[in-house]
Amino acid sequence: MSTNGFYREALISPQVESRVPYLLQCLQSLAVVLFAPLYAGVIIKASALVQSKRGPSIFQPYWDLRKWLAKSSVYSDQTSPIFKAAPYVAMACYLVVSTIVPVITNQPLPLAFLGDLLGGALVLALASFAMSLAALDTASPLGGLGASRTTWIGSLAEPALILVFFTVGVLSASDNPYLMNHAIAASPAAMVLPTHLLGAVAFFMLLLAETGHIPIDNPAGTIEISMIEEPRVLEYSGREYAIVKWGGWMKLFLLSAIFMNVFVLPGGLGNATSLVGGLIGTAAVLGKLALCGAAIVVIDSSFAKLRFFRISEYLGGAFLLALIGIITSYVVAK
Amino acid sequence: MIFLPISAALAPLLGTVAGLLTARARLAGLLTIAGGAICLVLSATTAAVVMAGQPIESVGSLVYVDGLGAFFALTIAVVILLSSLGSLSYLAVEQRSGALSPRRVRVYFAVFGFFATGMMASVETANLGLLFILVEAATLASVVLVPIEGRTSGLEAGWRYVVVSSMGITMALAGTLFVFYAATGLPGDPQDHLAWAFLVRHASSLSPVSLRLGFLLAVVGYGTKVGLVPMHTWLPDAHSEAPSPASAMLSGALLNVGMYAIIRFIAIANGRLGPAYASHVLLVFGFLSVLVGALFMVRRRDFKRLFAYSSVEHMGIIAIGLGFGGLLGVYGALLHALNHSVGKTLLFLTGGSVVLAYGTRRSDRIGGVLTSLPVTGATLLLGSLAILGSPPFGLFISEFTIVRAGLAAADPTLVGVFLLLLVVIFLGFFRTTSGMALGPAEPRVHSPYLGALERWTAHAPVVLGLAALLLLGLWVPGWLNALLLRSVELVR
Amino acid sequence: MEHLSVASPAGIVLSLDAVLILLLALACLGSKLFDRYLTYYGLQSVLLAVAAGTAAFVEKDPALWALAGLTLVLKGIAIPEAARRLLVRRLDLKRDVATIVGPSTSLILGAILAGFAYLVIGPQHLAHGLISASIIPISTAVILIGALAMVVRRHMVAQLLGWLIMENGVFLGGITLTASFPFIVEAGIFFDVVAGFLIMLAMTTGLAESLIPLSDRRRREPT
Repeated sequence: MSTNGFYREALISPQVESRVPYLLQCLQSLAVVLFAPLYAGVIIKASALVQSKRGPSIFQPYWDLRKWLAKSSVYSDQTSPIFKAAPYVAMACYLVVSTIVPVITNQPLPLAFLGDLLGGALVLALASFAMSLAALDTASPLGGLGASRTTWIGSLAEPALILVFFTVGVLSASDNPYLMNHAIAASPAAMVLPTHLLGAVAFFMLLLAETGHIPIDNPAGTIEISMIEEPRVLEYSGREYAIVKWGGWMKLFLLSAIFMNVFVLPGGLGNATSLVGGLIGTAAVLGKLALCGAAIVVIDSSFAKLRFFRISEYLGGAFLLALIGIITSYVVAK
Repeated sequence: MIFLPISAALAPLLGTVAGLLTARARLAGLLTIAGGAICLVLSATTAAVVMAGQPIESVGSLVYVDGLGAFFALTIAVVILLSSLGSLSYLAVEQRSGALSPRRVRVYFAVFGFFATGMMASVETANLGLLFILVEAATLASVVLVPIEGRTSGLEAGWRYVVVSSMGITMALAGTLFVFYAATGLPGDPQDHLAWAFLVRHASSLSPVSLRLGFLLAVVGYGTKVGLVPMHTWLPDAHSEAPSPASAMLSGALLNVGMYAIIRFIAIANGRLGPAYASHVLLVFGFLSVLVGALFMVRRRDFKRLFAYSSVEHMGIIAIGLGFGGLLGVYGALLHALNHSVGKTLLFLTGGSVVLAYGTRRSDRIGGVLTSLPVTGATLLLGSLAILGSPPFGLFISEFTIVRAGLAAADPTLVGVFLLLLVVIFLGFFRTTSGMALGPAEPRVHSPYLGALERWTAHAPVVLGLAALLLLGLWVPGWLNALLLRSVELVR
Repeated sequence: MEHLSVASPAGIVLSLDAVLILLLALACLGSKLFDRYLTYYGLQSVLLAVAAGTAAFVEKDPALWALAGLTLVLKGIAIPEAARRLLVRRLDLKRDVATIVGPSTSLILGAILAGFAYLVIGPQHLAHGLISASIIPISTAVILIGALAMVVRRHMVAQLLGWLIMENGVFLGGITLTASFPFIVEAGIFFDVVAGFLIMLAMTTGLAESLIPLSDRRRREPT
């Protein structure tokens, strides 16, 4: 089926209530916004428990957000309006991505035409770019450090990410995430094919890299000379800091949702016509994210951070896995 | 009838038994020579039987001796006999001087027998899988001989030999696999799908893609054994570090075994892909080998390395002959294989005497061999002339035949390049060896051999070899001609 | 065996197995610790035994079961253990620093070779949908990667392992594709590998004091 027809059918079906898709659209973005801090909080708590500590409450991110939003912001006199605008640009990007990936439904919602997976990757890169600009804007050496490192990792991860999309795309002959989701849900046997497994493993490795978890970066540490993501946001305070952190959690939420909904467990999502289905889908995605979070926690606690110059080998490994996945897909593709 | 080739292959094991029983070089050497002589007689008989009637074969071509196999078996048997003679004298001297401990002498003779048997057996089978196994076994046996004189450089040469050789042989195995795969779907027992006769008969139904790849891999793989460039990197080291009689076996016989394998694959490939594909592949490798051989021969100080590069060059000439193809090309290539075996063997044995007398392999420190060691010097000079293709020796005839084949089948420019390279090789090689042979005698140098037995076994093979080359240069005996023609028919 | 479909259960197991073997070969290429080389090789041989076992299951041939068992015991356990004890522990080898190109570059070259294998003998040339279409390119790729490992490494033990990986690649092609490959030939190949390994072991032990050949460490007299 062509993508255009798919959208049209979802949008302009006369038998269906025309408001439900829009409600679902709002529900989806709302779910992402509301549950992202919870996801992050659960991961932190689980990490602590695994390390035999008590850890903060799973709602701690919410209290932190409330605290930060209440504070006033301090701006360095070296900065320009870019510094103030960047967090909002990033948040906007994450909101856009939340509309185009399958989070609670497996059919595209009204705004899904904004982009496919490659478009989503572009928008995420835009968010990162905005944050890097802001970091450079502060004229602080740490900001430049963080910006350059994050950009370097991003540039190594992008080719691998694109190849990973292609490995799944081989099966569904498209890189629309909804079509991919359908293709895999339709033939569960495809999940044990080498192509798919390799793509999934590669995507998980990239997920860890893009969101700054072990083995690339330590999300819990704040003052380390080899930090990658943290120096970029060091200069933020108050409201902007809240927006920045929230955006980061949303990025983790979205990437994990893509991972689970496209690669691992494509079932359990509602369709675009039923609100109840959407609510069930929300619960389903939270359940799946719990699994993904568990995997992240296990890796967090089992491995050490990679030496900085070995990160290129790690990302090269992800690239290689995706490449081999594509190569071996020739056997299956008709 | 099968017992004939099998016993011909097993005959050299007499030497192995000798090596296990005694550590005296003379005794072990005599038994090895006996084994070699029996081997020669038996392989000559086999050749006669095969020429008179049908090829000797067993189930699945595990044992299969046709004209081609008989020819190569005869060649190898000659080399084995000559090298056995040389082994006795060389090892007797080394044992006496203490350079080789008794244990090493035993190891030498024991392994020498295995090596010889492996090579004989390899050319007596036409089952591609068994061929691979036997060639690998012979190679592994020969690896033990390279570092036997105990130098670190020998050990390193042996390591490089085993590593590059193994890599090559694995490629050959992959090639065999692909050829087997190309034969899937053919009627008959799958056991037969590795039998050369079967494959040639059904050549037109083989799958071309797999066959193409299989042939290429086989040429690359077995070409490593033969010493074709660029897989030759192990050859100069290994052939120069091994004791001279072993070098003679390596250069004279083992390279031919690899060539035999390649020729079997050519026959299969020609049946399906037409002669053009195999011809191109072989011409590329052949010319590369001759070129590299020529370039590296120009200023060689270690004269055994010089001989080794000459082997590379001659194998290239054989490949070129096979590449030119046709009756003349293949005939010339096969005749050249025989001539080169005899010539290189006698050269290495002569070199062995020189090394024993002078104590060094460096040609700039060797001079006046002709005056100090008359027989050795004469054979060195004449042998060099022979190996470089001068008339009236045999290599001239075979190279001339190949040139004629080239003019008939291919571009004359190729032939011109070929001749030019031969001239370069002549200049480089002869300069070194004549420099060694001529000049004033070194005062402290004398013949290393004591006693009539050592002297005879040292000089007999080289003199006989030269005589044979002279004979072949003037006249190819009728029976040899018939054997060669029969072999050519099998390949075309 | 060549006519086994790639979608059947045995076919799926075999293609997954083969891909893992390829990945292990690449992992060996990109690693710098000797202990890791041996571990990856051992794992690869175990997977090879699994492939042989699957082939034996499909063909119902007891000779293949024997071969699978031999592979598991000899190549999966004995050779890595022997190498570990006699080479790595005794000579106290830790990191392999004698490589011509670094691990990242060799990984890239390995990936290029794998792609090249698929290009030359890719599934588009072979019978579609059969197991051979997925295993032959992988087997070729493993052979090429093993050859690359031998060329790129200068340390003797590392070269030895490169050769063993090459042999694994050929074996993979041999068992799974051509389960009718005459057993005598396969057994012969198997024992050739073991013999070759033993000889290489003997030589490496003999050269214990300098396992990076002189010729690669400094220039000798120009020859």
